[in-house]
Amino acid sequence: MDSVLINGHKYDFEPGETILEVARRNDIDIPTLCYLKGATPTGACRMCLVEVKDARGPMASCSTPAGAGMEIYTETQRIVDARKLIIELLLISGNHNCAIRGVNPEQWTDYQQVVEEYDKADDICVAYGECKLQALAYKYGVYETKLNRIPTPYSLDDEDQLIGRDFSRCILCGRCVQACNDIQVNNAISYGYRGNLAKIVVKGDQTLALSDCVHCGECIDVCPVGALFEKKNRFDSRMWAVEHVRTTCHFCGVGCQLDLYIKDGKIVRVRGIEDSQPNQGRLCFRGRFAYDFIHSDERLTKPLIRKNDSLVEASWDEALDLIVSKLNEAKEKHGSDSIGCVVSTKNTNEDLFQTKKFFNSVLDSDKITHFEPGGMIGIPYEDLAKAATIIVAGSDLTKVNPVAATFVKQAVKGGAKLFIIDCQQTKIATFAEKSLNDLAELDQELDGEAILLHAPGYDITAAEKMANLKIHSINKENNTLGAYCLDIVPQADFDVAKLKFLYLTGATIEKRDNLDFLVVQNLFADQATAMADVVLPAAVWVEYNGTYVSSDNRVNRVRKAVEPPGEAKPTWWIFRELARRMGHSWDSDDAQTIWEQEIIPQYPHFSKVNYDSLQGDGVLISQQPETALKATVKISTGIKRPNFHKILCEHCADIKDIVARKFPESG
Amino acid sequence: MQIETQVTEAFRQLLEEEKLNGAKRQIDDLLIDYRTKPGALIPVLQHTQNIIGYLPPVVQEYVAQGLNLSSSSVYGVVSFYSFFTMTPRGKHIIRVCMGTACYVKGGNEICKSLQKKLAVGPGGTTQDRQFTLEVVRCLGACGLAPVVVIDDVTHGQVDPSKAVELLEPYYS
Repeated sequence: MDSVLINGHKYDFEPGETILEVARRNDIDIPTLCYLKGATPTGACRMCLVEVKDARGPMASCSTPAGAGMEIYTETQRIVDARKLIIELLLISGNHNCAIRGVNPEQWTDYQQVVEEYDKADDICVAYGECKLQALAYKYGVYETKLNRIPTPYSLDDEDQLIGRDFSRCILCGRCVQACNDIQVNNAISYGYRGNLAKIVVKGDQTLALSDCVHCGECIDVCPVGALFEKKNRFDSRMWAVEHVRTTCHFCGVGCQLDLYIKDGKIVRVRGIEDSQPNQGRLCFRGRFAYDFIHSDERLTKPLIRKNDSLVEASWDEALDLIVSKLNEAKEKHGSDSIGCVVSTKNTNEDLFQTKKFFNSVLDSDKITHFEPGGMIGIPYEDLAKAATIIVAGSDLTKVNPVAATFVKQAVKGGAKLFIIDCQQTKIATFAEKSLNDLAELDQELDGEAILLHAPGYDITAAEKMANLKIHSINKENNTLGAYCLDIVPQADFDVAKLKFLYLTGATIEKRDNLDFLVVQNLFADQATAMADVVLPAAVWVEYNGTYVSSDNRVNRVRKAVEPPGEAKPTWWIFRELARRMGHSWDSDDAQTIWEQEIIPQYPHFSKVNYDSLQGDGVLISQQPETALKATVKISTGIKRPNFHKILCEHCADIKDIVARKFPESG
Repeated sequence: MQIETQVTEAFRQLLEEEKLNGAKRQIDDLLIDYRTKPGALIPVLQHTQNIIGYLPPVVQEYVAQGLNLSSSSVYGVVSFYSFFTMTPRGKHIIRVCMGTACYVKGGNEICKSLQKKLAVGPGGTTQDRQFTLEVVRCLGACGLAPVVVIDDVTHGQVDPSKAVELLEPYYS
């Protein structure tokens, strides 16, 4: 293997590796501003300059491939001087009003006033303490400058509801352009104009609010300075001053890893976790911005009991006692089979397990179901980006699983062929080479290996026999696969009309039919709670611990980050309390014990996956509930599967308008 | 698709306002021709500018859609090259030289008198879209200074009143 000498030490490299990659792999720090992992290096910022012996001048290490025998020096005086000059030029290029900017005391106030006039904020730069430029200025001791500040020719864009653009702090590194075009492939921003007028533009150089932006927010995450910021938390949550909790996103089946930033018991910001699997730091609009529903005033906070035809607040004891007496009554009068439950596949495994245990072993009923078709993706998402041919069948991928869609769009950008089979027009179809009418047509198009990605429940019989075709699917809900793993599958013969007692956590009904008693557990009042005899306030996602099984067969942790509102409780707790009242005392009193003491021993596919092993990116389990996934989904008459994504987004006061304007029918 | 028809509709309207019958056909042919060719954007924009006269965002979006590119990247290219213009240009382009030689021989006065006559500033286009006034740096004809170029014809040793007279043949 060939090698290079970096600062006198010998390091091997793979063909094609850049100097920067070799250095970083060996823990040699070379500073960068514009370099974005996973995107083509642009060499724009020149921070990563290194000296290469016998080269004409300093080389940008991010874009120079390592060559056999190269002698490289990363911190010579010449290089340090060059970096200092670059930092100095960048500092004077914009409103970098952190303490770094060295000016004498009289000028300091004037300078801050100029900045304030531009950004209409009396606070210091939004990126203070997180800014890469500021950090480098400290590192290289750049404080003073003899040069004059160049005024910014463009005014602040704060027309958009969520994302602000501060051109006075933009260093034109282009990371946002790469994140938008190369990573997320949403193609909303580009470089525009040139020279000292250069600017990051959207279509027609309008405001972001009027652009093609889909608000994935990836650009904010990659901005090294304070040029792009989230508007709602602009100054009140300096990210280094608030605690953060890693968890798994609860929207779709991808199971993105994200950091929740918590201030005063509320979530104030969400960021993707860099280099994490499965999402590699990427998030979508919902994952990043749709969290306000958690703190909504409309959340149910107390149990409600129907008295004289109206729902009145009650204690948990009253509500649970009433449910238990009605359960006993139904069981005695009509038998166990008259009691049914529709679970939500948004629940944690621990919730689902307790629910099933309660119905199976306490009530002796097997009428526990959900209506979510299940799917699984048997390859890492990054393999999608490397595929030569992809077929998307029946799935509005950019809407349902936006982060998975980024990998497909990346593949197309890299030259892969994409075929779409769908009866409706979808956004992912605009990336396709061709739209096909049905799977049978696929046979003529395929040569070589291909990946078929279909919506769960989509009929793929015609494709099953095709050679070289790998078939995958990604769930709409976060823990659908968890439900299948725990043997909670759609029951084709689940019929509300035959039930007397119904417990709903994941469905809504239009009319009560023959039901004697209806319990609805929910976050918000809706059509079903209005008909219920007892309404129970459920805790959500960030309010308790648990696990999900994401669509790539990955068990991942969800962690408590905030307290539930009022008296809202996790599902597993509710069923534990019901069981206790029916004479079954269950030992496990927290999610970890339920998982480790009860679920693991019963379900061999989870063996050895204890909470300790679920740090970081979780654990991929090898056994798969494939036969269960083929269960037919027949929705019982009178029951509706709610569009959870839409409902949750609609309860986020701060993004309601954007949802209505940009994603009218999706959420 | 809904977005596509919106873009097409706005484009059609613009052509109607510009009284450019048949231009859509020409541009559509161009887009089909170039669609699969790499590096198609700049030649397509050049031809389109020749047909319509300028490249406002509506036209950029139509081209972007036709070549399957993002509208922001098309805007990036159009705003980068000074050859492309997003505002309508006159039928005739007047270039007043302000290179060193022309400047000392009174290029500035010539420019002022043309500005007064046409009632536009440098880079501007007259309301009737007959003339666009441009200021350029050295046309390489310093021996003829001061120089004014109208379309492809170079006029040497111009003075402020002569410059105005030069326009007369173009009023038609």
